[in-house]
Order: sequence, then C-alpha cells, then structure tokens
Amino acid sequence: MPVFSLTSYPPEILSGCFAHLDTLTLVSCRELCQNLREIIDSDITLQYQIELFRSGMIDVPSVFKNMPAIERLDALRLFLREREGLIRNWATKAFILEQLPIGRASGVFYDSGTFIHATVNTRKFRCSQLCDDGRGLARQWSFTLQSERPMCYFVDAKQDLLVVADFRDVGNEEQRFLHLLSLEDGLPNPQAASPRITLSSEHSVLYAGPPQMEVLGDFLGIFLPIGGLGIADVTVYNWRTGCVITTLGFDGNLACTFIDANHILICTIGSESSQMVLKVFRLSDGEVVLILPLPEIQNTGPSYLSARFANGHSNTSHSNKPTRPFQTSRDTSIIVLAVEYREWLHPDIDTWAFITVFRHSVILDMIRQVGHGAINVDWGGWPQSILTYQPGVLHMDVSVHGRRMLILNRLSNKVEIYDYSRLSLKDMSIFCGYPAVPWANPFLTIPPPNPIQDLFVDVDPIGSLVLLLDEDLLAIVRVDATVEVCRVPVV
Amino acid sequence: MAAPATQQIKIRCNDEKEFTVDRDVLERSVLIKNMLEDVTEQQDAPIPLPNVSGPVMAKVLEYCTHHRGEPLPSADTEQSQDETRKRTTDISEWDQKFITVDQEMLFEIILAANYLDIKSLLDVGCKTVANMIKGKTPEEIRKLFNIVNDFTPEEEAQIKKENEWAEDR
Repeated sequence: MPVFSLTSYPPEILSGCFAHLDTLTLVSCRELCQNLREIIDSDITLQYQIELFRSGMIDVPSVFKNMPAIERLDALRLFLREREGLIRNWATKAFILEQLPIGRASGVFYDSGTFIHATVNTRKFRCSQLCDDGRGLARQWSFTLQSERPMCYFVDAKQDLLVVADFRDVGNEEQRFLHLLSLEDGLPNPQAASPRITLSSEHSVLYAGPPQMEVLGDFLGIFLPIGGLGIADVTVYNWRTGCVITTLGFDGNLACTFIDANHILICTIGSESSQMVLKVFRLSDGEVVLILPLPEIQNTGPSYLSARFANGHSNTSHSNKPTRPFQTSRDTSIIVLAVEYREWLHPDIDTWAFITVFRHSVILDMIRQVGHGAINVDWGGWPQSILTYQPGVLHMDVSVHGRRMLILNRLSNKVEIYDYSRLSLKDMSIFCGYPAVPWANPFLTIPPPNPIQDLFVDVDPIGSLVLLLDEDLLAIVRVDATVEVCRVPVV
Repeated sequence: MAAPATQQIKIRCNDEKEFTVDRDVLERSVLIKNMLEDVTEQQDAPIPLPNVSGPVMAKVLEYCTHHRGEPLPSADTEQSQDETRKRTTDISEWDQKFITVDQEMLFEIILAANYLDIKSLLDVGCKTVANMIKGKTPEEIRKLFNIVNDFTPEEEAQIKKENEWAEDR
C-alpha cells in the first residue's frame, strides 16, 4: 500500500479543508509542496480570504459580500490597487516615521514626543521619538509582545501604562484579556508586574468592534460598543488591583468618556427607538447625577448608529518630560461627541454624521452644582449640530488636543482643524442666544466660522487614521503602512 | 410520496460486504437518496457502492444512524455557510469522538462522504484535517502528513518572500 500523504486527497477536498484554516496557517501551507501551493493559489475563495486579511480591512464594502466568488476576488484586487494609487506625497509632509507591516494601522501618542504605533494583529510595537522641536526623528525602537495577538491598544502617558486588548480563540470560545504593561522610557518594564484582566465573555456574541479605552488616574474604563442590536458595556477597573469599580450595561450602543476621577459621561443610543441620552454617572456609587435628554432620531428601519467621544485630555504630556508649548490641562479642554448613522437598507442614501462640542469645564460646573440626586437639565432643546456630514461619510476620525479639534472628512478627503481656544465662555453664551448662565448650555453651538486649516490629505477611505498629536502636529497612519507626521501651519 | 420509515434497503460495498439499513438512515447520503427516488419499483438487488469498502461504510452508517432525523442542509443555506464556515473548526462532542480514527480511516471516510454526498460528514472530516494542520510549522505538517518538500531552493526562497508579509503577524 502506498504511503498515505495529505496530497492523496483530491484537490476539491483539500480546498474544503483549507477553508477551515485561519489565514496565517493557510498562508504557511503554501510552503509545504508544489501541489498544495497550486491548490491554494488557484482557489478563488481562499485567495479572497488571503487578500482580505493582507489588506487589513475589517469592514469590507458590503457590495463585495454579495458578489459571486470570482468577481469578488477581482473587485477586491482592483480596489486594493486603486487604494495604492491614492497614496501620494503630501506637500506639507514633515517626515515618514517607519514602514509598518501592511495591515490595519493604528497609532497612539505616548507623550508629546513619542509616538507608538502598530498594526492590528501584529505583535510588534514600534516607537518613534520626535526631536524636541518636532521637526525630526530622535530615535526609533520597537518591542514585541510574545504570543499575543493584540486587537487594539491604548497608552496612558501619565501612568506609563500600555493596555493591550488581546482577543483569541481558545477551543470554541473567544477569550478576551487586557494586558497591563508598565512602560519605562517607552519600553515594557520586565521587572514590573504585568497583571491581566479577563473581560467577561457574556456579551461576546453580540459584540462588534474593538473596545474603547480610557485611563484616568487609577481608573481604566473599558467601553464595549455594539453594532446594531444588543447590550453595550461600560466597566471601570482599578487597573492597579484589577478590581471592578463599576459595571453598567445598556440596551443599544454607547460612547463614554471620563469627566473627572469620580464621574463618567455616557451617551447611550437605544436599540429600538434610537433615543439618545447623555448621562453623567458617579463612579463611587454608580448613581446617575445628571441627565441631558436629546431628541429621538427618526429612522425607519434597521440602522447602525454609533457615537464616540474624543476628549482633549487624552494627549497629556508625560510627567517627567519638560512641558511643551500649548500644553493644556483638562479643565480647559473640549469634549467632542461624534455621532454616525446609517440605515441598513439604504446605506448609500441614509447616512449622516454630526459633531457636537462640549466644554469640559462646563460639564464639571454642572456636576458641582447639581448636588445629590439625578437631575434633568433643560438646556433649551437640541443643540445645533455644528458640523453635519452627508451620505457616505462614516467612520470619520475625530481627534482632540486641548481646544483644537481635528476631523477627517472622508467625503472630501480633507482634514479640517478647528480651534476653540479663542472663544471665551461669555462669547459663547452670546453666540448661542442663551442666558449667560454658565451651565445652561454646555454645547458650543457655533463653531469658528471656518476651520483654521483645511488640508487635502488623500487618505484611503477605510483603514487610515489621522491623529492630532499636539496643537500643531498631526500624524497620518495609513493602511499602506506609512506613518507621516505633519506640521500644521498655524494661522 | 416518501416510503415508510421502516423500509429496509440493501447495499453492497466493493469488498462484497452487504448492509441492510433503514431507508431514512441511508438517505443522509444525497447520492443514495437520489438513486432511491429514481427507482420506482421495489428492488431486491442490493445497491452497489463500488467506491466504498465495508469497514468504511460501517463507520459512515454509524454516523448516519446517529444523525438520522436531522434536517439535511439545503442548497439555500450553502451560500451563507460559505461565509461562516471559514475558521469555524468546532465539532460536536459525539462527532469528535466518532472522527478520532487513524489518518487512513479519516481519509477513507472523507472520500466516502464526498462520494456519497453527505455534506455534514464531509465537513466534520475537513474540519478535523484543518485542526490537525493548525498551530504547526510547515515542517511539522510535512512530517505529520508525509508531504515531500519538492521545491527547489530558489522556489522555496521565492515563496518565503511572498509570505514575508505574514511573518510579523
């Protein structure tokens, strides 16, 4: 009897076996022998799987999903080629940090001089330290997390803390961990304990998308948003001990941000009614201290509605480093709520987004004044959306530093930068036409008439990321693996 | 109209081994189901299955008997399964135990499932092979499955280069 080999199987059966493999194993199977490589390379479904993984795209344009397999692969390849063509040199480019392996890029600012970046599904983290004047690169280094497959990560400079969300399949179950790594000079400190928090898998079936994270002092907030129906989670941990401080579950979707060491601002969106509500919760007892009602959003069918906060305090400087100009404290910063909406049935028509800006100090004032017990604040109705985007503009980037706000408008491929630093509280009250009671309307309803900067950046519409690193520095992290740091000409 | 569930059907394997099986059990095989539907009169002659041996058929029948009565996957669900089957290698506990056989038997069962058109069994077999491949280096896979590396050093270097992008992941 001949020696049994994997290649004894007919090709169509091997294709069926390979279809059950994860993409990385599938790719490594190309190295086994001629026969198997040919089977993998000639199977359009497997090729589609590989190309998709390689592109780093998570949200595939829905049109691909409905295509016959052969057209789908061609369409994806064309799409990726066109995307490459989009990437051109940018005139105001300061310098390119480093080529990353291709993938869904992400980056985070460790402090105002060090930028940490990685691609999702990558174990390697690259760090680049800018010169003090931000005009060059002082040093680059990298570190690798062993056997982790980080889904997303978050750095808090004040605590020298790197939080890595690690999602992996163990048996038939997805297990979700948070690794807490103490950084020292931009590297994980091997001497320091690196505790691990296991996230509850209760909602993992419904869960869609990476968690949002925020650190304030000893608190680590994990916000699990949900696409479509389901339950969204907010859990606040004491990351030094791993203890849970508060867990809040919501029907529908949510966005969340810390206001101070005892208060958290949550925007919830009901899954049935699309009712949006802003609430401030007290962490010490989980009580609602402030309710800011918002009107119902009219929708006619199944829809996707998501909200995100960008908080001006997230880019605070490392405590040991000299303070750079434009350094802002959290009291003077702004909080931006970005809401995006899409109807499942008519995604090309019924899509919109709006951005609303709050003053951090005004929210704090309101909390101070309400005292005990929940309070509904009547602030004179739904504020004007300061910026409304038209169909097709979803997954916009909003980044805030101090009182500057950056929006990546994916419709026009423009980065718009707004500056709120020149508007005083008094001015805003007059602009809004509300009585000059400081907390009657925390919204800045009138934006500066024009963005101070309006730059064409040619980013690809799906996976790239634009971050405001400092008041005058922005980083573009592209899916093609380049990271560019640009200086914004300040008007 | 469907025959009574108690109807017994005879089959003969390529090693002359014969089985007498309840019709609904045999109809897990789309091949046999279609054959039976084409035949209108009661036949006493056993259905010849020239591609399956007795020991393998015994295993296949064990599977079919355990899963009798479960709905057959329809052509409709095939499309959506194509999307979801990827990277799902979960196998039910009974199936897992059932499929714990040596490689040759696994091979025979998969070929038989393919020939007899028993989609769920074919799926279990393919997932089992995928599970054996998972988490191994190419060298380990070659050893496990007796695969001869027939690449020239140049070809091997070329493939390594093509696969380079995946190495950092």
